[in-house]
Order: sequence, then C-alpha cells, then structure tokens
Amino acid sequence: MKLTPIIEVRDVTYRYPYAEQPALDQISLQMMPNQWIAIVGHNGSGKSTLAKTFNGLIEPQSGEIYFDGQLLTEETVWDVRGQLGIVFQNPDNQFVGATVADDVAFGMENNGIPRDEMLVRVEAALRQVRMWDYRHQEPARLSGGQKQRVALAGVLAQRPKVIILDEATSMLDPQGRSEIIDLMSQLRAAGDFTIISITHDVDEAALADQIFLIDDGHLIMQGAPDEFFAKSDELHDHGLIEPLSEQIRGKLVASGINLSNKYLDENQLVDELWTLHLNM
Amino acid sequence: MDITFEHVDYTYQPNSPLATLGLKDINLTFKSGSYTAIIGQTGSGKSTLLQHLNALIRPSAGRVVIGEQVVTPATKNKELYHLRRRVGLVFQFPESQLFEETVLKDVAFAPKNFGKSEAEANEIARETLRLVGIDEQLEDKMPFDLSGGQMRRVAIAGVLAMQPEVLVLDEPTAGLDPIGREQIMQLFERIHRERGITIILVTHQMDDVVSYADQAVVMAHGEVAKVGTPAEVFADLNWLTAHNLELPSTGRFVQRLQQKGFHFDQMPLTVDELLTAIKPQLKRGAHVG
Repeated sequence: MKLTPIIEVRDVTYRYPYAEQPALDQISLQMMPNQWIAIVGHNGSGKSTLAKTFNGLIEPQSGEIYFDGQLLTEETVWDVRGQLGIVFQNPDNQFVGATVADDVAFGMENNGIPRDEMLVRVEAALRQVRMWDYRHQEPARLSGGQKQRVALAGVLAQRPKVIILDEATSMLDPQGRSEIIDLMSQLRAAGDFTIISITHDVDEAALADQIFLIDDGHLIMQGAPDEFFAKSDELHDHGLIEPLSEQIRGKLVASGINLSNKYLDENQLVDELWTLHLNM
Repeated sequence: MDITFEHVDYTYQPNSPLATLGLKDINLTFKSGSYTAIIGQTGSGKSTLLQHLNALIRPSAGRVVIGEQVVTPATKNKELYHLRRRVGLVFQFPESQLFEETVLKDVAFAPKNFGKSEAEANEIARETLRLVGIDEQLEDKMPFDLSGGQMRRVAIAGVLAMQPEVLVLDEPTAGLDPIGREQIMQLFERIHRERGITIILVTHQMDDVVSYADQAVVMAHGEVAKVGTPAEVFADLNWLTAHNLELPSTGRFVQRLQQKGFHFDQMPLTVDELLTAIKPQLKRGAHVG
C-alpha cells in the first residue's frame, strides 16, 4: 500500500496584501509521516509562510493543502488544527497560564478534554520535556530554553500528529538551543508523529531525515542530509552555508586528500581522518 | 575614549533580603579604538557589565571611568547626559524598539533629541541609512513593513545616528540567517575600521569572536574569569568546556581528533588553520596521485 503523505502542498500561491512578489509561488511538495523534516531558507524566503498554510493560518489564493490525505477546507480546518501544534520563535509571546501546568492545560481546556484526562496528559507532557519540577512556577521566570520546553509540552499534551517548530531555537542561547534539539531527537525516537522544524541553522537541519530548501517562494531542492549537503554551491546561492564537517571535507578533498566523495557528518569525517592518521 | 572598570561591584536589590551580587571586583580596560568581545553563559553578568558602559546603572562600589567622566555610586544622573550620546547601546532584538511612523523619522529621532535641527537630523539619518545598506525608497515606509533583517538595520542606524565614539552591541545578530549575520558583522567591522569606533560586543557566536575581536573577556558568576586575545582565551578547550562555554566551531572537531590521536601545538581557530594542522599528520597514501 502506498503511504499517504502527512502534508501535501499542491501548486500553492500566496501573496501578502500589498506585496509585489508572491511569498509562495506555485509550490508543490510532499512530507511523509513520522519523519523529522527540516524546512530551511534565509529570512524572507517564504519558509514560515509555507508552514502557516498547513493549518489554514494563511489561506492560499490558489492551490490545495492536504493533511493526512484530507483536503484543507473551511469545514476541515478545525479538525486539522487539533492535530497540528506549533511552537513559535519568541518564547515570551506564547504564554497565557499563571503557572507552567496551567499553561500546558490551556489548549486542552479549549478542546473540552475532561479534567481527569487533562491532569494525566499535563504530567506526561511536562515529564517528557523534563519540566515537571517547575509545574507550579510562573512561566515568565523561566529561562528561554525552559520556556520553549513548556511551549512544546503544551503542544505534546494535545497528542498531535504533526509538531511544527517555527525557528523555535533561534532566540535561545547555545545551552537553550541544545536542550531543545536534544529533546527533538528524543521525541523522534519515542513518538509516532512528524516533526517539522523551520530553521536556518544547518547543524539543526543536518539531524533531520529530509530537508526542504525554500527560496523566493519556490522549492529549490529536497533530500536526505547526505544528498542535500553535497550541493554546497546550491546552498550558497540561496543564502545558507554547509555544515562545518562539509566545509572541512570539501577543502581536504580539494587539496588532494583521499576522502569519501560524499557528505560526511562530524563522526564519519573524524573516523575517516583517523584511518588516514600517520600513527594508525 | 578609553573605558576603565576599577574594582566594580554591582548588587541587585541592595539592603534587602533579596540582595544578590551581580558583579564582583571587575577590573577591565577597553582602549579607544579596540574591539572587545564579552562571552559567558546566560546569567554570568554580561548584561549587567554592559549597562555600566553608558552608566544606565551605576556601580555599587568601585568606579567606571568613561573618557573624562568618572562614574561612582554617588554620580548624579544629570552629569551623565553627554555620556549617553558618546556611548551607543544596541540592545538584543533592537527592532522591537522602533516606534516612529517612517524609517527616516525613526533614525532622525536621536540626533534631533540631542539638539540637531530637523534638516540636520534628516541629513544624518539619510547618511546613516546608506551606511547600513537601506535604500532611499524605504525611507518613507513604516518600519514595521520591512523585513526582519531590514528592521534590524534601521534600529542599528538609529543608534549610529547619534554618532557615538563607542558602540556597545548585545547579541546584534541573534535570530538572523547566516548571510544576514555576516552582513551585519561586516558592517560593524567597517565602521570600526573606517571611523575608529570602539566596539564592545556581547555574543554567543565564538566564530565572530575569533574573526573580529582583538580582546576577549570571559564572564562567569559575575566575575572576570579570563581576559586576553581570542587565541589566548580559546587556547585551552578543556577550560572552556569546564566553564560551560561554547567552543569556536573548529573546537568540537579538534577535541574529537585529539581523542583519536591527532596532535595540535596550538588550537586552530579557523577552518584553514585546522587544515594546516591536520595535513602533515595524514599518511602519504592519503594523498591522491
């Protein structure tokens, strides 16, 4: 049986009011379920606009969105929103609850989930993001990374099929960023849902199963990290840089060192260099 | 204009049960025309230190000497007016402070506030906008109609329009994409070189410290943990890791290679330095042809 894409975008065009250029220009793509997907592109490339079409926050002027095989329409949009959660960029703009636990419960209250069930889910979600000990605290007093973990818990508690992280790490310090990225890796291993991370951090994208590069509202290329990062010229042309391991590999190969001719992540590159070390 | 910290302490909420020491016995010099990077974990005292640089807060003990102006716990606010023009502070996400109806008005606000005529202020604003790469067509737009990267430049232009001698930058590239980051850092480098402006940069981007700064200051628990050139500060990777600091991007790689038996006399801080250090350690057979 053929697998149904969790999200399918067909020929979608969207132009912001008064904008000269469309933010999305006849774009089509398919995302498969239960993967970690990265959407990369420079600021203003259209990547965040694209994500906002997935749950109808933005309604395209033409084209169609399918969520798990279902066409997104005025009738289906509410159902889809229940199955797709978003963590936004700014950790300070997404809190409504007086305590961490209240905040996580908010989305479920809105969806009319019974209280007993809610309590179970709040605890499970907060434990999952390692913030259960902070459940009675005010969200405002947490660090940036902790705030984003709570926001993620709020999304997890809804048991969505898709979690979108819209540049959720870009305002965090290095420690906060690695907390979120570690958590994403664990979630992918544990859960049966799709993670879509919208990012311009190539090191974060390198962890994904599948990467989509967006520019000028078009899909420029897509692939698994090893195919994707092999095309460094393409990345440069669209305002991104390749991961450090690829910069090093590229330069070593150019200077005549006999390394693999494909993308290697840091571990693989260190291993290859080791086998070439004089003392081996 | 040199800036010197002499035995500076800063206490949050003094004389209360909640009193906490924000800074402890800080001794530092920022020479006129230098480029200093301040690094350290969130909560290490970087921002508190920063706010002393144009006397937004005054030390609880010790003194800060900014040019001829001495700032002590007893200094009156009135005496600090001129200082604020000479030291420009760009906060994190400065675009959130844009407020005027048009881009030009926003940038002209500070010079007008410091006594320039409307025509003079507009002239300065135009010049500054060109300097940060904002075209004439954008001058009459609402700041909020611009892209994130453009808004950031306009906000920076607003500070530069005061024509400060010292520019203090708190994570000026946070949230920007790699190319946008590079452009903003190049802009500061150009202003630093061409106009001799002193730069003090707070950052988590260790590669920027390596590329641009001539002095690096490591803050930890409200104290200066280390001062030196970037090469000196990044020489000991284990020390950095022990202080929970990020490494320059080559650092992680170097640590892994060391575990596999590679040897480095000096910590390579750039990709090219790294390659130069690795190549002689590879087998001859490793070279093609």
